[in-house]
Amino acid sequence: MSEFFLTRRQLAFAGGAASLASPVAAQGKLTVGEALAKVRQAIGASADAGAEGLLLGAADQPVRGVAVAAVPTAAVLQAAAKRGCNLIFALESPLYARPGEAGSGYPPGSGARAAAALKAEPVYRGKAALAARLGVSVVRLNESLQASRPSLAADTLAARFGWSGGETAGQGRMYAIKPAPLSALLRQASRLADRGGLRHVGAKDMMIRSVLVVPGKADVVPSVQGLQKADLLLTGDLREWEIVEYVADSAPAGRPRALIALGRTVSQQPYVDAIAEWLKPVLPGVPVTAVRNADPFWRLA
Amino acid sequence: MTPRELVARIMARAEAEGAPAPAQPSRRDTFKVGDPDVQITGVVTTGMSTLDVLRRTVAAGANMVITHEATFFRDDDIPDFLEGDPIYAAKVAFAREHGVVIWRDHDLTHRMRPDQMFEGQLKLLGWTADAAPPEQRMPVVTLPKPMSLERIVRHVVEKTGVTSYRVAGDPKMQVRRVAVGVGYAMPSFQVAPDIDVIVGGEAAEGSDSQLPTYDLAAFAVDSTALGQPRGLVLLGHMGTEDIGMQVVADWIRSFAPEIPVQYLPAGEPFGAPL
Repeated sequence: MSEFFLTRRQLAFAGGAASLASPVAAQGKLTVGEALAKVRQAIGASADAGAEGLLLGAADQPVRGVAVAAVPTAAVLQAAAKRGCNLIFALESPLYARPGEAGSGYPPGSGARAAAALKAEPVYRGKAALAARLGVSVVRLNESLQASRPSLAADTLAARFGWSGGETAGQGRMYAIKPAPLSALLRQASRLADRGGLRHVGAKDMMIRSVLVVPGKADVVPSVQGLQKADLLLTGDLREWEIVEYVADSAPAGRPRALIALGRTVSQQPYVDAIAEWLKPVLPGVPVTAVRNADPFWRLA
Repeated sequence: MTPRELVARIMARAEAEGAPAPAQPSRRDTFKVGDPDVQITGVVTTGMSTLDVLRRTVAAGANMVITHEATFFRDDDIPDFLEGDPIYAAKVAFAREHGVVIWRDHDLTHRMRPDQMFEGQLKLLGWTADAAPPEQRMPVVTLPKPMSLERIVRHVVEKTGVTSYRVAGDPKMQVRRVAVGVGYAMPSFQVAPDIDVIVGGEAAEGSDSQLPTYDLAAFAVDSTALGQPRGLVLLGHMGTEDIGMQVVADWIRSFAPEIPVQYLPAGEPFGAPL
């Protein structure tokens, strides 16, 4: 776990010392640390939230191009480099999890031990080596951006379905939509979830008039409370023995509700595209592009 | 016999089989609704006490449900966020109207050795776990001969009958060693050496997970991309834990023969994919 905090501390002085240390930066090229400082300033965040920050790479590296992605997989690193990008802003961690332990329910120290073990794994070492070989840095940026632009993730996913005019509701946004059967919305959803992570609960002929949109992972309390008003929860990922049971109980209880789970990564792609657009004026002169993660899941044909 | 007496008998039997009650009583394994002092007409075991299961329980002439998962939509079963909720109200009203008593049997099933959930799932899949040290909770299966991930998927899908499963990894990868998970109890790829594939219930995507839990799908995708093919097969929570409650039903029958006990699977909550 300590490496995360070391890299964040390095980042804290990157904007000053690193710009002097880097010859390219001295010629006027933005460094990774400076780019992050500009993004932080635009967000209005003075420091990284949670497990955000530079997780792979170097703060004094001059930035040639910026890629935005949901999950910084090896394939994303390669795709970014192929497009001339050497800084990735990612929603998720390259280490596959958060290092934090507070309230995790695990024994004290187990998170740090697991982080050290995972970093010693050939897979993580291989990815870190790939990043070094490609000269790509990875910054996790999620909670502070979400706090700063709370409606962006839901609005951009909703827009892919043709919905607008949402209102904030719990973790997400509520949309009144032109009535449509669940089957029609599932067909739209299947065009986003290209390989098989899509799941649903509810009768396919159920008419949907209102939707609670929660990209990423839906938590039980705000989702259940939102479903008291919405016909459908459109989300990425969720716990099956909590929200799913609630939706499954709704039809027998005479108050049918429906659920579409796109998969976390798939549900975040429209948000990723929007972040890339938002970053362009924040980092003028730096090429910014969105890199798409493939749906990690598939099913038999 | 009353539900309270049956639960006391279950706990005594578990202790006799080497699974004594923990010093801190389980917060999950408690009565959720109903009068635990009525006479039992019949017992139903199930993976999840959905309203549909409660209806089938009443239709079967039973009045006690022993469920592995929560009744009130959150792991702690505390309904403080459900005040005024019509679905919660309908579920409670149905149980009260029909005199249904619900008791959760979660932590005990996992405390038993062998763990009753893994016992059920391994039997369903037709697999035998390798010998393992006692501290290794999650079973590992070494297949008699390697087979492709696609063939593994066809096998487990046929055995469980689920349709909303999800798979990560290269379908053509060769699999020799499989780590098995149930429900949200998922092994990592590091649970034992040389794990090729994890076959389990559900696992969170992304980095919301707190270590030692991590995004298994992203790890499998990266491992494959970096030259060591690995796979993940998610059969869903009920695709892996319903069946363990059949083990529980058989077990209860063995020491409470005077009451009728049947297993009613909750079934996969998801609809068939388009």
